[in-house]
Amino acid sequence: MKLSLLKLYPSRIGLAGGWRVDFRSWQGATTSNIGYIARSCTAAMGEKMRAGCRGNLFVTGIIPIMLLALAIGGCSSTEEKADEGVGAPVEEAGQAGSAGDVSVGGEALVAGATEGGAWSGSELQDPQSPLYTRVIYFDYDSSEIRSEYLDVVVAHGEYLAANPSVSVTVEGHTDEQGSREYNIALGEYRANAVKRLLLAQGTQESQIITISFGEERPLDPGLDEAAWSQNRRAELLY
Amino acid sequence: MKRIMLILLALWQLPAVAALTIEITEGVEGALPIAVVPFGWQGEKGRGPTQDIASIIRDDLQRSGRFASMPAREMLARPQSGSDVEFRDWKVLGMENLVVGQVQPNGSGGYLVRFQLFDVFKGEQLVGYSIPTTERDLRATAHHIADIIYEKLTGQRGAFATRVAYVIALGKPVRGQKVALRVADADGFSPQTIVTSTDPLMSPAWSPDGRKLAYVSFEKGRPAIYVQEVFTGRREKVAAYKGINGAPAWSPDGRKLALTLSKDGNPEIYLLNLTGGKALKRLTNHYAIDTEPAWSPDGRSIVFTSDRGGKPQIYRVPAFGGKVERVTFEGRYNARASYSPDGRFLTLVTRQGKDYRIGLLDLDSGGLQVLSEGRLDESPSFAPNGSMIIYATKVSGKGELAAVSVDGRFRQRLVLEEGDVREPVWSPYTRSNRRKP
Repeated sequence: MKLSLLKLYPSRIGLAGGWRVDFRSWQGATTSNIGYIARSCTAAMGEKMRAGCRGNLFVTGIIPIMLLALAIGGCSSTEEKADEGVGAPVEEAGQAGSAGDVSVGGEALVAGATEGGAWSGSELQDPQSPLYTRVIYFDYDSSEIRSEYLDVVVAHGEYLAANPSVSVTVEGHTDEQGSREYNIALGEYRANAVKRLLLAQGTQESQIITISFGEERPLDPGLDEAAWSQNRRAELLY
Repeated sequence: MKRIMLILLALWQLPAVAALTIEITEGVEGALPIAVVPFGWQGEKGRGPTQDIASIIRDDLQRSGRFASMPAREMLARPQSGSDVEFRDWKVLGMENLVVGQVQPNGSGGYLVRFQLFDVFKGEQLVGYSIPTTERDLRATAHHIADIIYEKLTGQRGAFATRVAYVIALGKPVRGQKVALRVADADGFSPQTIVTSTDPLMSPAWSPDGRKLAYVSFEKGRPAIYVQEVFTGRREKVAAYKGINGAPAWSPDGRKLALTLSKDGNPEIYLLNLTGGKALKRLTNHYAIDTEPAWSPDGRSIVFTSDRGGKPQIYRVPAFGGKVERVTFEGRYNARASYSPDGRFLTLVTRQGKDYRIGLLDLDSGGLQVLSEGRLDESPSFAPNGSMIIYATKVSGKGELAAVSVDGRFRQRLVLEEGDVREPVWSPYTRSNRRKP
C-alpha cells in the first residue's frame, strides 16, 4: 500500500503543476497591484515595516530552522500553560515496536521490500498477508467499515493482540466536501471505528493511538469523486 | 525559549506576489455614482505620499457594491478643495457625490490629509475632516476616509478599515506543503504571516477586540488550540487534550472560548474559561458529532453542527447549558453556521444537489437563501457591519476567496497570486476604528 501511495504521487504532482488560475480578463489589475506592493515594500514604508520586508529572507532561511528547533526542543516543554486534561503522552508512536523480535516501522518496511521475497521480518511486510493492507476506504459521510475491509482490520487486530509490544497509529481522513471541522470529527469517527474493531480482537487500548486529520491531508488533491474516494480513508501506521 | 521564537514568528511583510486582486464578478444596478478626485500634494515636489489615497478610497467604495466610482482618467477637472469645484460640470457627468482632498507635510515623515464630501446636486458639503497620519498609515487613513464616506451616504457603518485572517497553503499539493496563517487588510493588501507550519493549521477565530486569533495547529503531530496576539506574536496553548481540539469560537465578551473536544469519547462542545484557572464546562452530550460552535452576538446562545439526526444540521443550545433545539430543516447538509452581527441571520455551508454553497438563514422566518454558486464553497464569515460575507471557494482546483453581499446581488473574487487560500475570517471592528462619539 505504501508503494502504491508513492506511485500516486509523481503523476499527481504533474497534474498539479498544470493548475493555473485564469487571469484573462483581469491581467491589468493584477499587474498594477504588484506594482503597488513592490513599491510599498521598498520606499513606501516606515523603518519598522521595511525591516519586515527584508525579513523575507529570514522567513525562508531561519524559520524552518526555528520550527525544527521547536519540534526537537519543544516536545517536553511545560512552560506553556498546560491544562490538567492533557492526556497521556502521545508522541511515542515512532518508537513503537522497536523491542522484541518483530521489526516494524518505516525503515524496516523499505528493507523488507528490497530483499525481494525473503520475508524474514514480520507479516506486515508480506504482500500476501492481509496485514500488508494499511489503508481502508469509506463511503461519503460514513464511518462504517465496509465489508471488504473487515478481514483486513480483523487481521491487524489479531496481529496486535499477539504482539502486545507493537503499537499502531490509526489516522482518520475525509474528502474535501463539506466543512473542515465537521470533517475532523468525521475522520475521528473513522479512526475510532477501526480502533473498536481492533480492540474486539484482543488488542489493548494502550497499543492504539488515533488521530484525525479531517480533509487536511488528502492522498489525492484532485477535486472529483475518483480523488475523493481515495481520500475518505483510515490509515494504520506501525 | 519557545516563547521567544514565537515572538520572532510574528508579523512580516510578505513579498509583492502575495497581494490579493479583487475582481468584481457581478455588479449591482443602481450603484451610487461617485467621483473621488486624486488628492493634491501641497509639499515639496517629489516628496509626497507614495500611496494614491483617492484611488484606495475609490476601490473601497467600488468593492462594497453600493457605489460606482468614476475612473480618474474620465475626470475633466481635478479640484483639490471645495472652492475649486464647479458643481455643474460634475452634475453633467452624472455624479451625485464628489470627494476632493489634499495632503500636506506635517512634521518629519508625517502628513495631514484633508478631504471633503459634497452633494453635487445641492452643492453642499456633507462631511469634511483633516486627519494627521504617517507614511506607514496612509492606506489605513484612506480606508478610514472610505468608511466615513460610506456611512454618510448609506447610513450603514463602513468596514473598509478592518482585516481578514486566512489560511494559505504554499508549494506542491499534499506532501511538502507549507501552511501559513495570514492577516491582511480587508482589501487584501499588506498580508502578514503570523504562523507557518508544515503541519495543518485550521479554524482561525478573531477575539472580539480584534487583537488575538485562536486557531488549531497540528504542529506537534496532534491538534492543539492556541491563542496568539496578532501584533506581538505572543501565544499560549489553551487546549491540548487527548483527541480533537478544534473549532475555537470566542464569546462576545472575550472571556470564553467555545470549542470541540473529544477527550470524553466523542466530539462535544465545551466552554473554556480563558481567565483564571482555565475551567472547562461541557455543553453538549450526545453520541453523535457535535462541533463548529458559534456564539450569538448577545452571548446567550450557541449554534453548532451535529449529525444527531443522521445528517449534519445546525442546532442551538443556551450558552449556560440546557435544551438543544434544531435550527435547520432544509436539505441534507447544513454546517458551520455563524451569526450576523445583528443576530438575525446565520450564514452556513449548505449542500445543494452535489454542490456545497454558502447559505443565509433568516432566523425569524426560517427561510434559507443560497448566496454562492461554487461546487465547494465553505467557511463563510460576516463583515463586521453585516453587509458582506467572505468565504472560501475553488476555482480550477485552487482555493480562492470570494465575497458576496448579503442580498446576493453583488459578488467578487479575491485572487491571490500564489497558494491555495481558505478559511477566511473577517475581523471585528478594533479599537482604532471604533465609532467616534
